[in-house]
Amino acid sequence: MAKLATDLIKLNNLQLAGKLVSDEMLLGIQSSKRSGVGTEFEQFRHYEPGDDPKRIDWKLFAKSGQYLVRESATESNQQVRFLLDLSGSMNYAEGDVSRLNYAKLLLASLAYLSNRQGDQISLYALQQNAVQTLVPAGKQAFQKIIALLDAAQASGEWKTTQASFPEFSRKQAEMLVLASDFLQVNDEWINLIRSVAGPRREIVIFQILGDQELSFDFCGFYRFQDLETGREMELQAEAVRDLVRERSSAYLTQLDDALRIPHVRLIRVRMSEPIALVLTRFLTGKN
Amino acid sequence: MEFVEPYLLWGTLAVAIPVVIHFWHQKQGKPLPWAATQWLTEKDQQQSRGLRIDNIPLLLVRCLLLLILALLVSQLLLNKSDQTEAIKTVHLVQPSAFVTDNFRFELDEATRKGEAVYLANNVLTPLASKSDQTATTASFDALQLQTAINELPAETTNLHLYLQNSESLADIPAITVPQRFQLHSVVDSASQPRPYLVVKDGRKLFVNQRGKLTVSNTTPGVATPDVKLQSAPVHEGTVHVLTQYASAPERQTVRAGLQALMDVYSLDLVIEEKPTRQSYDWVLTDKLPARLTPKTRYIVSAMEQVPHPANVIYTNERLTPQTSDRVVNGQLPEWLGQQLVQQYKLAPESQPLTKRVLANLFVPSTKRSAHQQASMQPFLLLLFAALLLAERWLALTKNA
Repeated sequence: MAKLATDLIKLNNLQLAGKLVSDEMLLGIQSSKRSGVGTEFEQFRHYEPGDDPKRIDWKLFAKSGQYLVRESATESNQQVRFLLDLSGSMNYAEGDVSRLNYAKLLLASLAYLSNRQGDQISLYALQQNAVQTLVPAGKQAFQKIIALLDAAQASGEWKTTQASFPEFSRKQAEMLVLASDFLQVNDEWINLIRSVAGPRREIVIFQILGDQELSFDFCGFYRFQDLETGREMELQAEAVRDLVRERSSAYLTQLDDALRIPHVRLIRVRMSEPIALVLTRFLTGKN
Repeated sequence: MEFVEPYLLWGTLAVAIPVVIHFWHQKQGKPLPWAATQWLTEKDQQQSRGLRIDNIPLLLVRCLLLLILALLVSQLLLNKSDQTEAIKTVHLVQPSAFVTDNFRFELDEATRKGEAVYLANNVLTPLASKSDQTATTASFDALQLQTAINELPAETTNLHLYLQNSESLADIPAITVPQRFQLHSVVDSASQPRPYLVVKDGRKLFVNQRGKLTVSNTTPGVATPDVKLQSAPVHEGTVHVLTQYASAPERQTVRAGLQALMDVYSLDLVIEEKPTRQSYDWVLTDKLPARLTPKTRYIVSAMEQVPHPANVIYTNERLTPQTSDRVVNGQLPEWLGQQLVQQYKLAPESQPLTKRVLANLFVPSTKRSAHQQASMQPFLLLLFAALLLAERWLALTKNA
């Protein structure tokens, strides 16, 4: 049974939650490790003809008189970069689930999956109008990512005048996973995504939206507080309902159209959806 | 300061409306953290946070606007003209010899004091001297009286009105008189000789002082204790009645009714059921005869048809106990009696009004003369228009 985000948040353990979510969708898949050349040491084994003599550990030969080859877990060439939006609007909550928590769970689950298959993973945050590197790819990146995700707090505005991914220029197959609400994206962002996307760089955008943001079913007199600017607006919800619905659907279709480009996938996620289902949808390619 | 319509001053309470709205708009909405504020709009929405300074002048202007509107409709008058003009006593007399004779003393007194005495006709003829015998105007009615009163300046007149108390005064619902007003009325109890019928044994049937049909033995021309009768009766001797009804019960009912009338008033009715004479005084029938004689009164038990001659009365129902309430309640003889009174015009034309009715008839006016009313209105209207403009300007520019 797919677990709802509420249950996972109650666990208060991103690593476990990510594992639960991932295991849920990897039922029956065996994890068999491949050994090869890599940075992280795994084991020694006897030299076999055909092995590169360079890989023989000569210090160990001096100690033991045996030709032993140093082995480490195979590292895949795939680089997966997680980009978490940490602007104030991520604090939007519906029920017990806040957008930030949902995004954290989603990224943690994906990180777990990537880590399992030996991808290089790194974490970035969109904060204070810039892309900041939280965890670079490397040793024990997964643990660090989990820890940093756990501690991440969203605040501030997102008004990117000049957006850029500073170090994304390497020519390597990589995947950029972006978790955001994508509510205030201007053309520059879309242009940036367009320019970055390419055959070697796949971009996956999880747009996480609340049910109310999509349907706007409020009744009564509300004081809407902008999560980023703090601006307050008092409105009779019924009076603006039609307009809001119209605008939101217009915005979302426009966003759909703008991002309907090769190597970019926009996955719209409702906060009420179980994360495992979202991941399945993503991994099986059914949008 | 005075108001023409003081009760409209309750309208000033409307001042509360903008104040209430002002505070209503200060109400707090349920706070809701929201991300997609770009989709919300503030257009056409009330500014509603806190006690805004720019709202206060607007509120004041709106309150003032309502106040002035209330003053405008209640017609504020500044009494600048004071009571400088002297109050003049005017005596208005009904043009009738009876009235002038009756109030001879008062009127002479008034002329001696030099107060104005007018006849209440359209031109306000001054009543010259006591020797002058006024010709009684045949048609004096309430409208004529009102016209005469309106001729006088209502503000500065102390009006004494001399009238004969008669029913015709009540033709109009109210007679407007000045605030200072005194009514002198006299009941003309015996002036008009009344018509009568001579019934059996030379007795006379007439309507007495209390409006009741009575039979008595008075001689013509001589006043009974209360009424004076005309010198000749309107009708003497037998009243010929023809009853023609198809149904026996109806004929029987009508006959019984007539019989009752005969017994009570000793009327000399001769009731026939087959026409034997040229003309009858009274024809009660269920079918209107083709040829009508003008002097005869026809009472037809049928639905009323228009037009019909004045001497034809329709009962609108069959006169049987089954179909007529009038018969069931025993009112048929009474109704027939009324028809008789109407036919011979026995009822006097005018009944005096009771004291209370007469007092209620005269309504002291509170209306001011036109020039006084005009004094304040244009100024208020101008102020109102200016405030309205200011309000619109404030509302549209400052609070847009």
